[in-house]
Amino acid sequence: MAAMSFPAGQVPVRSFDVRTRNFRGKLLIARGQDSIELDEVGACIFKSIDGVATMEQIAAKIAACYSISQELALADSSEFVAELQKLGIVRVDDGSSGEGTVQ
Amino acid sequence: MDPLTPDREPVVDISAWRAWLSANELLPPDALAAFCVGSVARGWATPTSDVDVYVVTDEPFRSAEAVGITVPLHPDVIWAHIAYFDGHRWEIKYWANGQIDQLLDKVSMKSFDSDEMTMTLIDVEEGFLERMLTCLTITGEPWVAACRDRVRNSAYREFIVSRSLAGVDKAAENAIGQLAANDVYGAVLSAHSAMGYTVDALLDSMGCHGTITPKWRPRRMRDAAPAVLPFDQYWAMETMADLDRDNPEPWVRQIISWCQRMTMEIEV
Repeated sequence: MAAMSFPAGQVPVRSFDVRTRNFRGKLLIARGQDSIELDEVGACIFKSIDGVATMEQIAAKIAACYSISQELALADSSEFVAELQKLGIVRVDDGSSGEGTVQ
Repeated sequence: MDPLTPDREPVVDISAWRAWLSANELLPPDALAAFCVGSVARGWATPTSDVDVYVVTDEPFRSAEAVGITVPLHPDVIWAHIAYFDGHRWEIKYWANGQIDQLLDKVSMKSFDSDEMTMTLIDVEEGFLERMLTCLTITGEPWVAACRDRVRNSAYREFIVSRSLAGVDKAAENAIGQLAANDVYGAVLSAHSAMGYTVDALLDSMGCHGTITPKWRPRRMRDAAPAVLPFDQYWAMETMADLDRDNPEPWVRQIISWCQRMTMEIEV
C-alpha cells in the first residue's frame, strides 16, 4: 500500500494545541499524551511549516538544505508531513491559523 | 531620549558603603563576601529603590535588630537587617556559606536530570541565584567570582527556562480552551500571558535573568537585545498594539502561533 503524502500544493499548518521543546538540541513535539522526537531533517521540515509555505515550497527548502533533488525532497517531506497530519500535529490550512502575521 | 538605554553604569561609592557597613557593625570582619544585588547593582534603580546587600559568612550572623526569614535550608533562617543610609532604605541579608552550598545542590545538573525539571526553591532562594549573576562586589571578590561560576555551571538556567516553557504550555492551552468556549476576552489575557512566559524563557535562555521581577522585562529585553525578537516587536505584543478590540480572536491566534514558533528555538 503506497504511503500517504501531504498534497504538494496545499499549505500545512501546525495544530494549535501542539507543544514543542528544544531539549539539548533535540526537537520534541507533543500533542495530548503523545510525543515524538524529531531527527534533524524532521525538525527542519517541521520548523518550515509557517502557515504560508506550500508543501512544495517546504520541499524546495529541504532540497536546498540537503542538496537533494526536489522530487526526492517532496516525496520524503510530504510523506513525513502526512504522518504528522495523521497524529493531528499538522492540518491543512483553512485560513484560521493566524500564522504568518506576527514574525 | 530612550528611557531604557542599555548604556548605564551603577553610580555607587563602594568604599563609602564598605566603611558605613563596618562602622555600624553590619559587616563582620571575617565575612567571606558582601555584595550589592538587585536594581542598584544592575543600574536599574529608581529614586525610591532600596539598596539590597547580601553578606556571606562561615557562621550564621545576625545584628541586634535583624528579622528572621525562614528558609528550607540548614540553618533554617537567614537574617535581614533594615537600615537607612545616604537617602535610601537598605536591606541587608545575611547568608551562611553552608546555606549557599545547599542552595546550589538544589539546582545541580544531577538534580535537574532526576527531578523532572521541577525546581523547588522559594522566592528568597531563587532571588539569591538570580541576583548573584549581576551583583556588585563590596568585599570578597574571589568568593563572589567563584560563586558566580558555580551558578553559571549549575542547572539554574535550565530549571527556570523549563518553568517558563511549562507556563507557555499552560497559558496557550487556556487560550485555546477559552476560544473554544467563546470566551474571547479571557483568551486575550491567556495569550498575553503565554507571550510573557515565552519572552521570559527566551531571556533566561540567554542568561538575562529577572523572571521573578516582571516589571523588569522591558529592561531585560533592552539589555539582551535578542536577534529573534526586536524590541519594537516585543513591545507591540506586550502592549497588545495590534489587537482589534472588536475582533480579538486573530490576535490570540497570531500570538499563540508565535509562541509555538519561539518555543522551538529556545533550547533547554
